[in-house]
Amino acid sequence: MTDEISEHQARVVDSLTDGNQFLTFTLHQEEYGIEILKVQEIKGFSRLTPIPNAPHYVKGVLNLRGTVVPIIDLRSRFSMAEKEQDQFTVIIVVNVGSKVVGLLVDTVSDVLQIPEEDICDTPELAGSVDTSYVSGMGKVKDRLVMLLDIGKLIGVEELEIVEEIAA
Amino acid sequence: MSKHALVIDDSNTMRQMVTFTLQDAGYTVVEADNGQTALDQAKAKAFDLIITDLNMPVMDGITFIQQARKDSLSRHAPILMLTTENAPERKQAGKAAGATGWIVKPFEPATLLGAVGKVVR
Amino acid sequence: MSLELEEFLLGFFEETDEQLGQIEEGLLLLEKSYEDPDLLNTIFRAAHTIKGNSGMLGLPEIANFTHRVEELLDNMRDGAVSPSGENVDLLLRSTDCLRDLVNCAKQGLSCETEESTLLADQLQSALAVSEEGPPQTDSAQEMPRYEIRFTPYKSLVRRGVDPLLLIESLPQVGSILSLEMQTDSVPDLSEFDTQKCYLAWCVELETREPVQSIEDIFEFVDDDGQVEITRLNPHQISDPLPAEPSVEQATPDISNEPSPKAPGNQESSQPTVRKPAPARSGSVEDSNESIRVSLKKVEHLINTVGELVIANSVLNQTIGATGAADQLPLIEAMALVDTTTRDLQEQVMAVRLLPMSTVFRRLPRLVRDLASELNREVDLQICGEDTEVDKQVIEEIQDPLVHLVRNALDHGLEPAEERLAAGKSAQGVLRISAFHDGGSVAIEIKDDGRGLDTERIKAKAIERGLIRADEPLTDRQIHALIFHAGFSTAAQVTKVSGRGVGMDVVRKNIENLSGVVELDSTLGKGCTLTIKLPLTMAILDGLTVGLAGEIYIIPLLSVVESIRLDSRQVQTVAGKKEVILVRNEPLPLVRLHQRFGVTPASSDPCEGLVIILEHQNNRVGLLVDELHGQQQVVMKSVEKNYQKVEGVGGATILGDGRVAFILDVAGLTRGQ
Repeated sequence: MTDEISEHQARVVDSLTDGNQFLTFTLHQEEYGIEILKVQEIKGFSRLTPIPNAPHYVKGVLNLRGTVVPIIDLRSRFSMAEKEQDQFTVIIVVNVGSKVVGLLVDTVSDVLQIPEEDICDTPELAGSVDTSYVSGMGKVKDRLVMLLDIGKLIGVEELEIVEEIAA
Repeated sequence: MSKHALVIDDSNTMRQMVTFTLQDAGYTVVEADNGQTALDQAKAKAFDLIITDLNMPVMDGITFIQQARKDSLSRHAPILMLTTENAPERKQAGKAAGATGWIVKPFEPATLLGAVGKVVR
Repeated sequence: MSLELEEFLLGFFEETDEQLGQIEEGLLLLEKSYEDPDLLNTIFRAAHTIKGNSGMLGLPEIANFTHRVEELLDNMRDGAVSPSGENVDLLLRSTDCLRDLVNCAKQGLSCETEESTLLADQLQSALAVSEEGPPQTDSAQEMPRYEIRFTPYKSLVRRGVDPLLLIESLPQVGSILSLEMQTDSVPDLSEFDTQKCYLAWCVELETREPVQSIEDIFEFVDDDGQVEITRLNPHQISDPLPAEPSVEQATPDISNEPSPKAPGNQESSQPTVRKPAPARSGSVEDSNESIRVSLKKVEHLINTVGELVIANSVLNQTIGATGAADQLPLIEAMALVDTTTRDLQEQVMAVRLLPMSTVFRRLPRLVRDLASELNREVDLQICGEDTEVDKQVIEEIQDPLVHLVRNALDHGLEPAEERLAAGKSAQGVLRISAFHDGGSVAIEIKDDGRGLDTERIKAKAIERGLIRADEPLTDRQIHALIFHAGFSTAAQVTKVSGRGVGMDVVRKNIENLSGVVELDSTLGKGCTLTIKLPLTMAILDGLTVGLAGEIYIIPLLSVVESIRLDSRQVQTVAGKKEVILVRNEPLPLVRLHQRFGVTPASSDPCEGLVIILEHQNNRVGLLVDELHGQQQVVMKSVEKNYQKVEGVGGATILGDGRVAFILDVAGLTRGQ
């Protein structure tokens, strides 16, 4: 018991001092993480308005206290089997660059402190995720968490290029 | 060896304006926001220049000038008072109390320095 | 930098922009009506204010430069220098330079440029020319001489005024020809009163500076001493016989040079002082009471009111759903909230409204410069400057407007000879007006120049493959072709208008504001360009329609009517294009479900609803499932967090909290 408590305390202390904190969530029973600094809030599901002619992974927009926010279904983005949206569906609202975007995930887990030395490069996995979106693999106890590069994921650059061409 | 000035005004803005201008001209400035603290300062040090507003809480400018001239290390210092346009009797009172010169508010820094130049070597 | 200083600087920049605008306006007017003393005074005051403020805030380069400008203006006021075209030109260029310097200051860069030094010299030279003016003694070469007698009283010394310091300041004003200290009054040591001054001075000073400068030195003497300043004749030697009635006594109230904010304080000045006192009565241009508010605060206010509008809508819907809406007190209360909310909304939107004059005020200068560059004679008429428009619209319309004016001057109006040959007056008329038209604001640019050459445009368009030779087009439609990219029929693409790409960019910019551009022209007579813009960008009246289970909003401004078709009205042309007949007029049918890739309730146009839309004289029929109603919506951006969506102009939040897209009528009607 005491061991657990002191370990927890140690983690808390760690998390207060280091910047390597990640919000972890699951997709299809696999664990992923994104930098906590980019996370604005976590929201339950609400009705989406589909965007005409949008890519399949952009499920629509929703109203976030008066702002129109697009929602990206990560399962779809990673070409995984899609899931029906229900009241347990979670949306992680992130802030990247100047854009606010929502990410549709299965469940949200912990905020984990993963120090540099526990993060390694992604091996060439025949995995479900396009490794260009992955910034590294985090080792937590005996699990592996795939850390995602949010900017690349949302394609912030991508969006801007599209805008230019369309202009 | 820089000169020392005492700037007294209860308006932060005005005081800062004057202080900046004097500092730019090479003065080391001590600030006070009422006549009493100013008098304490004047008694403790022989300033090369004193610039004071007239309307202040605790002790007003005229009283300050009187007291400073009577009994302080700075009693021989040139004292410039900041006056407003429509108060000629204040100016007279200030002069009677011993003010060396005056500057009418609002003023440009150049004007301030011009007045200073007339009373300080 | 202290926070206060920063605030001062912000206020200074705003104020200075206004002042510079006033100076420019004034100078342009000056060109037309010489010798109007009030005008010159106004211009001078504005320059004086800038000088004072910049000096006060630690921007000496700006203060110094403005001082030069002020000097020349002062000379003009006195009549010593004439407001000739050349001088006005110099002043205009200096005003431009001053703008640049202020911009440098805004960015924290140094406020001195090669140009400012050059202009400062030119301004100075313009002055020197005038020095012949003022009445001096016959030999203009000879510098005025003054005799100064200074006798301090006891009271002066008691105040800590150092007489020596004053005498030592005289060389700053001129050259001392002779200096005499009078020691007659000095008593024996035993009778010496250390607090008294027994000395007096007599100085002969040579200077071109005005007497005021000498008096200034003795300012603090006041009535605690005697100061006599006498102007000497060229042949006089220290004889206090006045050559001019200029016996001066240091009078009590001559204070410093009039500071920018001091209300008229010159009543006690002496008659010889040449400069007329710039009587600063409170007569400043704009006497409306107003306060400066940060734009952020206003935007926040508008957003909040927008939210209130939505909340009101939610309330209405919720109450409606509960069936409690039948209760009279509730109905009345809701109606009250509704009216009050609308009122509030109107007022808040009005806060953002600015008069068109903010845009129009650049034009006289622009037209003047361009006309001279292009060698055109132009009579510029501006009206409707008071027409109020949303601030955002004002900001975005500036560039397109400037471009259109440039075009009118370059391609529209002809040079004087050509006009005369055509039987017109040598001077061309360019009339720019703004007015409210229904729910929009219209800006009209009308010239009586060449007009559009329909044949030439048609030929060019055919050449470029924009239209086919046999296409039946009205003159209006042919004229509208000039808005296509890469189109320019100008014989030479002048550097003033730039390439033909200009007109299509202009139209795009205006469309981005949800506006339209219309052209009307007659060959030989002229051209009228009309820009129509919505009064406000943020809130619009919309028609709510349904398609495939989703709701879309159509800006009411673009809606002509909604109709249900019967099968006879629907026809297919050339096997592909669908057309509907409305009162025997064929209109293209736009299937929104196809555009948006969704499944409609029915793909049979006769089962759905057709909304007739109009945009820039183009009409189409838009097929949707059903009509829901009409409501006012607050426009939200889609591009902010996502990107531009084809066919969509924006989004809004409905009463139930859902997002609904607002259709982009321009996009939907284009290419039909």
